[in-house]
Amino acid sequence: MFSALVWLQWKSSRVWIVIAAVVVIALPVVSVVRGWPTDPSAMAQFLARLEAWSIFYPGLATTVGIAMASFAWRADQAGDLVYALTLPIERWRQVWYRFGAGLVWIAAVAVVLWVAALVAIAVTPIPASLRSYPNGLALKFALATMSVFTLAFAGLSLPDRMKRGIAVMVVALLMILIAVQTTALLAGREVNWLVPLFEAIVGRTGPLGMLGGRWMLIDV
Amino acid sequence: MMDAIRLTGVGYRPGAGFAIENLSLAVPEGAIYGFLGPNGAGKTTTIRLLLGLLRPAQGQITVLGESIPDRAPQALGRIGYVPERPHLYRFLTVGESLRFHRAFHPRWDQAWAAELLGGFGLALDRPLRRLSKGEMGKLMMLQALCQRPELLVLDEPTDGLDPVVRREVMSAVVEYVAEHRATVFISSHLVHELERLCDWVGVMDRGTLVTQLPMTQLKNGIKRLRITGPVERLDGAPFAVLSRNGQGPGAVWIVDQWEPAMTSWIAERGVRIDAIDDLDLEEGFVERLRARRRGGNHV
Repeated sequence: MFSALVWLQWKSSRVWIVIAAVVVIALPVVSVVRGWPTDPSAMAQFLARLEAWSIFYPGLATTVGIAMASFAWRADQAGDLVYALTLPIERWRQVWYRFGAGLVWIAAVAVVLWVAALVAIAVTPIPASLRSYPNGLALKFALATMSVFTLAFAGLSLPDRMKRGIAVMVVALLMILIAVQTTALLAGREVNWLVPLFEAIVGRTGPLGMLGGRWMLIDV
Repeated sequence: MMDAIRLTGVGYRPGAGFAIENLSLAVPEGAIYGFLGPNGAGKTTTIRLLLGLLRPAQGQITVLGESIPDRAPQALGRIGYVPERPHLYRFLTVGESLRFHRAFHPRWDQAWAAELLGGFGLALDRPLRRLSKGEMGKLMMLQALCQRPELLVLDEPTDGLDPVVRREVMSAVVEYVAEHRATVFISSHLVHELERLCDWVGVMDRGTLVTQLPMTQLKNGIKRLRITGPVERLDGAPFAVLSRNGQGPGAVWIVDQWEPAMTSWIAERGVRIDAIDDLDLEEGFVERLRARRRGGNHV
């Protein structure tokens, strides 16, 4: 049953998986191999350019995580989940299997990234002052994508009414925060609630903390 | 004989307005049970309750001896279900859809699946999104049958299909039932189709079960009487009067719970019976619903 659901996830989201695989092959290769300086004095400039490229990793992790979660249930939601719920399997087990199926393909994309990163550093003469992090980068990508996937999967698995309720609450809360902060700033009071909130979510200890930090394949 | 499906005092209210109330229903094992009712009567909701897709507010549901919804997965492994609307994954091909379905049904009959594929004219490499309504209906029936179910639950399985396809699909059901002694619970608007197929009938209206009885009893018990004479003397008749049309000569009554011996009861009251006509299932179904909605003396 699990393998059938892994295969179903592939069939429903294969376009995204292939695109993600192509991008994770291209990113390390394009950012490292093509931009590698011949002049050792330009190394700092190279690292700055590599850092600029690195922004694409968390962006890609977010996109892949959300896409995989949405495709986990999308076809079923179109049919009111009737087919999924009439399969002879406990609901909790099916939810876990579908979650696991998404993780399998995220792991596969991360493995592709790892191989591409290994290839990129293999063809690049890295000076002794710099180090490469193919394992760390691939692992960080996998964990970040899985974090986004987990949150999106949990949200999308909720009943429609609950989903709408949570979405309305989140938007309302944000609007209230923005209104309060704007009013306070206009009144000349130093209030900053949005940045701590943002940091609580994507900060080091937040649920999306893996998206933050440095995403460098080659660094000091 | 054990009941394949038993609902006892089931209540369910999806929101304001419609509700299933105190629904009790029993489908004997091996029966072909036709589930009739107008649109919005609660047929699909009842089916979803007995499959465990919905949780009843009160009452008990047992399907193939399993308590629903708690043991729905165990029961679903023995139930073939064809829903009202196509529910399969449209991004798969026919072959892929069968492969996916088979993974969840260990008793899958591959040989018969191959035979039905040929008989239904379904190509394995056809994407589901390109199938016509008839082809999709055939595929859903094929999947439900080839998992070798003990109970088939069919919710308007032939709705919108042309007569040729309808016949093909229902022939496959009849063949399966004849061979495996399976129970069939079939909801349909096509009353004539059920008349040929079913040996039990249940009629739903506005969330309640109007009547439930063997087909022979349903058909033999309902008659159209053409009578002449002082019909007012027939008050307190031993049969139920569903409708009366006209007075004096040529009055037409639709009656239920009719038995041949009742002709003498009528004659004794000076009323002449000009004719006793059978009603087909559709006429009987419509007359029962009308009587119920008028609040007549039947049901």
